[in-house]
Amino acid sequence: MRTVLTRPLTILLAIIATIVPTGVVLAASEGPIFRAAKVVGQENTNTETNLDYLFAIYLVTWVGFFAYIFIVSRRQRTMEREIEGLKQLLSQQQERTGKGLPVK
Amino acid sequence: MVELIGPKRTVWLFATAVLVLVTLWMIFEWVPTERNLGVVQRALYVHVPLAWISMVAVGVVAAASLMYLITGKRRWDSIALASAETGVLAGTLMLITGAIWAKPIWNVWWTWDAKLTTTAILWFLYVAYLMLRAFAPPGNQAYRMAAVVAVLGAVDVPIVYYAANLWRTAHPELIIGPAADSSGLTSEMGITLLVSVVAFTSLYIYMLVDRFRVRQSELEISDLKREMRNHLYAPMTSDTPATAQSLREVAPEPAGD
Repeated sequence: MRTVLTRPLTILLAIIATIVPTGVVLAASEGPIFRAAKVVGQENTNTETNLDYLFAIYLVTWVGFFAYIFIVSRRQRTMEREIEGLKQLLSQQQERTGKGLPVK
Repeated sequence: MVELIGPKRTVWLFATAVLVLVTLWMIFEWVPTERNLGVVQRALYVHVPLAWISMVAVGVVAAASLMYLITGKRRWDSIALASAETGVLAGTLMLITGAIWAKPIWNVWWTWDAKLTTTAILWFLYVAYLMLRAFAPPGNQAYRMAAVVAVLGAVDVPIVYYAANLWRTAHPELIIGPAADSSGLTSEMGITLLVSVVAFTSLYIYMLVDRFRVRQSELEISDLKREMRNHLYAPMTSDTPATAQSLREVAPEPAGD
């Protein structure tokens, strides 16, 4: 188990140790890739066209939140049913064997 | 945190929904349109609160992970996991909304700007945290290692926050938090942004508690199955075949470990 855990963790920490300083140094040096930020400008501030972008922003945000809340709520319901089932099985076992299992 | 269940949870959700509706009314009816950026500037009232809650979430993950490393209590680990998942969701939405907003203003979806790059790094770090938890064999050692990653990852938060001040970037300056300069906003804009931040924070708390409950249920199921395994594969013989069979189906004996 230790090997299984150590290997991905080493890789992960190596990635973190590489990416974070590289990103910070690149940002500080304003190297070639950062020049892209300087050439962009306000090219399209047409109100009519921008409404589509605004709509997309609000749609993505609320769909994202509602989907997450829905998935989490459904998972909770499924788990509550599973817990009930497991407790029933345990109590059945308890009745048959006469051994008192600590049921939560 | 568990106190926010039952009727209180419903009241909280209802209050959040009302707050969100008020925020939407303010954004689309009350606040004036910004002169230079036009109507798309209203994205600010979603994009900034998303950035805010993703930073708060990362702070909660780091603090809870630190508490887990100190105390070893599973409750802290559950809070860290719940906050990490919610934070990654908020971070993902922040990056997407930022890209959509950038297109009409900067004419690109993405640019390797200091603020954007450090934010992307932070997002990858916490996705890595979730992946580590998902794919490492379950157990305290894996959770402790994930906690270390979470604490180390939080170092990126101040870098992200001050990136717009530290380096010359295309990203606007800070308008929220301790180093903020919100002089570019009118009072209506400032109030709307504040209400929006409160609404999103309320939503974050609701989602955090919801996810925390799911985690607690996962742990309860895991404990129940462990108890059943311990009971089944110890001295039991063939005196209870039917129930034992059904129990073995839900709690199979682990192959190794």
